[in-house]
Amino acid sequence: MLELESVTKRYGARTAVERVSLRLCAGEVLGLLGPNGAGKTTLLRMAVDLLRPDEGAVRLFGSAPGGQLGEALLSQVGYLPEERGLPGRPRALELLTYLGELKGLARSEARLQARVLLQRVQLEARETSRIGELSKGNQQKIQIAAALVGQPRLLLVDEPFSGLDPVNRQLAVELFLEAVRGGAALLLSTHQLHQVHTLCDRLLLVHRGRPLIDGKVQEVRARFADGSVLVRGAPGLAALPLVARSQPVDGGVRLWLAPGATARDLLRAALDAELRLDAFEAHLPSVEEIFVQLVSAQEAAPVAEVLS
Amino acid sequence: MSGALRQPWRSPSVRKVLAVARHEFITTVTRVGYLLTLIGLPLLVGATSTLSGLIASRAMVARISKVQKLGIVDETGLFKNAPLRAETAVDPDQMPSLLKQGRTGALFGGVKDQARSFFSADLRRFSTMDEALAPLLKGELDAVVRIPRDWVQGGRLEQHRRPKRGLDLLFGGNPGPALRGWLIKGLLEGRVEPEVITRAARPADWSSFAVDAAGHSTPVDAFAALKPLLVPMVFALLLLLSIFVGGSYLVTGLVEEKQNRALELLLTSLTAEQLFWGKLLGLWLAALLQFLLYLAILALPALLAVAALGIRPVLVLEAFSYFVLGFFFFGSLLLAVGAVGNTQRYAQQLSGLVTFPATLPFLALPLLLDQPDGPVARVLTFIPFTAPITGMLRAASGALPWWEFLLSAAALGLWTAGSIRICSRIFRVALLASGSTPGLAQLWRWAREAR
Repeated sequence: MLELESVTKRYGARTAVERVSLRLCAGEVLGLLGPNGAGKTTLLRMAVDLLRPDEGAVRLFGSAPGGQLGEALLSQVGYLPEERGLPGRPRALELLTYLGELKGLARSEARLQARVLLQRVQLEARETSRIGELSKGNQQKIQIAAALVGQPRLLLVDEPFSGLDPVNRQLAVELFLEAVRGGAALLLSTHQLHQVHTLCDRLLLVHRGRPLIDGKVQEVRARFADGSVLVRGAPGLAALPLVARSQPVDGGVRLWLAPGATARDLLRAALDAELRLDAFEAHLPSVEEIFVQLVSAQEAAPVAEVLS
Repeated sequence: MSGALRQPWRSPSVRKVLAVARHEFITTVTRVGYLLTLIGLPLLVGATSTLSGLIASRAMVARISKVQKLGIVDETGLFKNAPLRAETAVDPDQMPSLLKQGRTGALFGGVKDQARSFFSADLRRFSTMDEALAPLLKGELDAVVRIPRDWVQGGRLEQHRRPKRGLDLLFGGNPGPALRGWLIKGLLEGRVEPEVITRAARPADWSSFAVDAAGHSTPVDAFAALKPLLVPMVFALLLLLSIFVGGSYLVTGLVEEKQNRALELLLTSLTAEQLFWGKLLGLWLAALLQFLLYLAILALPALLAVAALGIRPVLVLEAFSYFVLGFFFFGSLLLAVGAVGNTQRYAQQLSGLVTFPATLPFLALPLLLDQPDGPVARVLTFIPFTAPITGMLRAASGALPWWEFLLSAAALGLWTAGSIRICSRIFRVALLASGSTPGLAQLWRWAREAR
């Protein structure tokens, strides 16, 4: 669906993105992560042909964007920019209809889809309200509906949950997942890292325009695992000599093993001691922990060292 | 052959342009400012011209209606036998049109009945100024006119009156018009025949004749030469109005969309060129609506009179061509200005620079009317900023040969095409640019590098 091949973008002397590659397939969700100024928005803009890379290539649905073909390709892309990008004067239904027409829909079809989307984001009662009259959260819901109009095959969304309360955030997640279940690909740029666990199949972490890490979410988490285990039940386990130190976590305890000990050794010891275990699993760091770890390290050391 | 090729307006690209145009049109024509201009301007022009007409008529009616009471101190002795009633016929050319058309009565509630075709005064003779001043100060006289002993040699007369106040400053009687005929009569009576005295009081009623190449004379009235200017003036004013008012909305809207990042969303669905053309077309439609409305309420009567006024129908076509080309030329520049401007203030300053040259032909109007085929007029006809209005004015004066019109329109068309090409490139790059304001060198680089 979308392929960025070693793209580089410079603004004058400043390099915003340097040799970043990514690939996104149908039905897949990719989390694009990075601190502020990492180059995420530049990457998204290159993906939708708002910016052209200085080096590297962008392919949408297997073809380079640009020209008449690119226009047809872009009609299948739903885009949600980070900064709210809606004019204040038009009315909600009229604006969504207009955006549908720009996606190539006939006016009647665009109007129909606009109505359905307004219902989906629970704003059907505000269809004649001007965008500027809506609350910040409702404007964000209109923005989400705008990204979904035309039933795009590729969704590129930048901070889609910004300004939404938990209920509406869940509503937005459902809408995106519904599109993904229908075969669309979703590229999600977000600071809300916990969403990556629930939404994303893969992640790409960028910092200072350069890729730090990418891969399947579970694989990345496993790669950054430190050998500690998460145990529920068995309260005496932390006292065993195989355990170097322990830390209570939500509903259990995280145990770091003594040098030379393995998780298998610890599990056998627990069973031998006939301790009652509710759960025993390798502890995987959260995406947030990996993010902080990598970005903090990056602040102090070159990329190569961090990745090694 | 595909359906889109057979019916180009059904191609996706054209449909997007039309969708943008419709959106821009609706957004523009529903703006309060646009509606105020659309409806308010004709009302303002109508109210202003009616008011000024009423004031002028009122002043004239007041002057004609009032029979002044004047004291005469005649030191020459020329008027010792003159009648004590002075009347001078009003020159019809000086009468306001409202009076001539007989509508004053309705407007002034019977004032017309008091209006006469003569300025008139009742006179009282006095031997000395001291004798005359007493009734003047009592209010029995409006003024005292002293005719000095050396009047025949020097021509100086004196009028003495109490200080004027309020509306008297505007409408207060001047004894001059009423006494004109009386003075001539007093001066000449007994010296020349009575007909000569009448003629001296009103020496000429002019008639004008136009002589064609074959030597035939046909009567013309003094207004005839100005009649053809009506059409181009209407087109020129509408063009300026469209550029200034519509252009202002265009620039404001574009900067707003740029600032709130709405353009980013739009440009993922259509190309910058489609957006450019859609906006230009939408604005043109809004200007056309304005144009048609004004045409209907202001200029239609004038256009209906085209045949009666002897205006060449081709003049309307020429003026309309300049209107269309001029609009698209300035519109494309304003779109680039809106795209380049990062703030409303800067964009408005830039658009002022771009649109100001359009008014130059009006500043040079006396020269253009005096020498419509002179070198200045010719040069201005081929400069794109001044060509539309200069061309219209020259065509109206009959000083724009058809070949020069075609050449000028073609040149303006080429300039417009070039402007659209360059500005759409700047538009494409500038729309998403932020930060510092680009200089001329940067703009040129954008125009050259944009794909």
